[in-house]
Amino acid sequence: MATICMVTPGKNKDTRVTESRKLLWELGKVIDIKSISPKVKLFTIETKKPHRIEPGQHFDIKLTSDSGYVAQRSYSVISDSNYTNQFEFGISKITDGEVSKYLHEKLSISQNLLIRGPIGKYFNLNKTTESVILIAGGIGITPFIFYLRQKNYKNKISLIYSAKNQEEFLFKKELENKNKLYKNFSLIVTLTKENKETWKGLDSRINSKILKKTIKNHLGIKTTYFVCGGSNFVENISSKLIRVGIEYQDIKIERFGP
Amino acid sequence: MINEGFGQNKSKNEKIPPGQYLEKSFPILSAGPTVHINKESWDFTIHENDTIISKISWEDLNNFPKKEINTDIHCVTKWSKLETNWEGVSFKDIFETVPIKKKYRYIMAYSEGGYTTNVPLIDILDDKGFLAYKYDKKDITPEHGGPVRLFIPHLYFWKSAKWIRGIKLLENDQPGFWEKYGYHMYGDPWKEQRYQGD
Repeated sequence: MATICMVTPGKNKDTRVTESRKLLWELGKVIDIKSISPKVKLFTIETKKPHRIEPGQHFDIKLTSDSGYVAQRSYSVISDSNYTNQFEFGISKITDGEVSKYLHEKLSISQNLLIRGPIGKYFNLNKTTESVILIAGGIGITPFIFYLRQKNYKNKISLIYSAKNQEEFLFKKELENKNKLYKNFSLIVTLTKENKETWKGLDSRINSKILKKTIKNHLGIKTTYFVCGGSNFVENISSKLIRVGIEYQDIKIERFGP
Repeated sequence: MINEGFGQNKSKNEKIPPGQYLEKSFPILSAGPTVHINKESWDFTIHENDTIISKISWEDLNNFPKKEINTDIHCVTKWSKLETNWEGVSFKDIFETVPIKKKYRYIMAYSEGGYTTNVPLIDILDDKGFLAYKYDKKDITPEHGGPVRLFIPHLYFWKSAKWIRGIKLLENDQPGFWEKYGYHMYGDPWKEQRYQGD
């Protein structure tokens, strides 16, 4: 039986013990549900044992009906800590989405569900250059929130975030606070469907002009590009990055949705 | 464990493997940005250690017998698409022109852009593995891996490498791109072999 290598913290900070384990389903208890926008809820799920997690990783959630019908989906994890038994998932309610609909409408605090993870070591934001440009569309912001919570902002980090409107500008306060607090962090927000009367910021979809301006601010700094959002968004942005001259291997992408 | 109130009146579709759902569109998935390759400059190389034993150009590929494949496809990200239509060349026909030594039991497929994936050799023989160049009667678009992608529909779709450029013959199994990141070495959707240990 193949195993997956996990790193678990040792007694002192510098010692890490590597152990192997199989990725198993475990019971997760819902300990909090918060609406953070009309479409998105933040679910906090607690497992018995803690896990070491990295921003960009996801967990699978499995639902089973009484007739034996099973559905699974992957959700990107958010946390304040890299080693925890409490995991936050920002989940968008999808029209006709059998899993997200159940989670939004039927799931309540203290109920249990099966989860397994963490999964995914490729779109791992910690294994990269110190300087990054993050580009998010809508709910694609979630892995970046986890990443930004851990940083000391010694190096340049830019986030370009495209959302529909103020209400769907997820984690607004948290991001704006960081933008005020750290001079090495740049937040570039564009709201594509907001009322022009009340929103004076950027309102176009992320275009080459916006990208080039941000890239210019990282001139001479080794930078990795992370793009996360719906499939079309990611396809569009990654092609644009290539077109403005960013090297293929410096772009990492994660598509949300199917 | 039953999740009360979930999936009432839902019945199993026998054509959909466990944990998968039916998708009508054709989602795009890849680890990096889309790669654009000219048909004319595309070729497919078969390596035996450091030796190239065959190079197939776009023109050569079109001289092999055409196979039409109607099949279901299953992506590890949980979607399945039923009754898709593909056209391509079967490895069975390619290997008739390039004899493969018995000691080789696995392949490492590699793509433009650096993607790799490992598959047992037996899984691309007997009309089970193809080099596909048409989807739904049209040239495969770059987003979906064109001009030519590997097509092994009985395994999860990450094994059907986009922008395929060649295979390396191996005596022993080695992990490819996603496999190194913890995905299953084989990837049978009916056994739900998503991650290592499944």
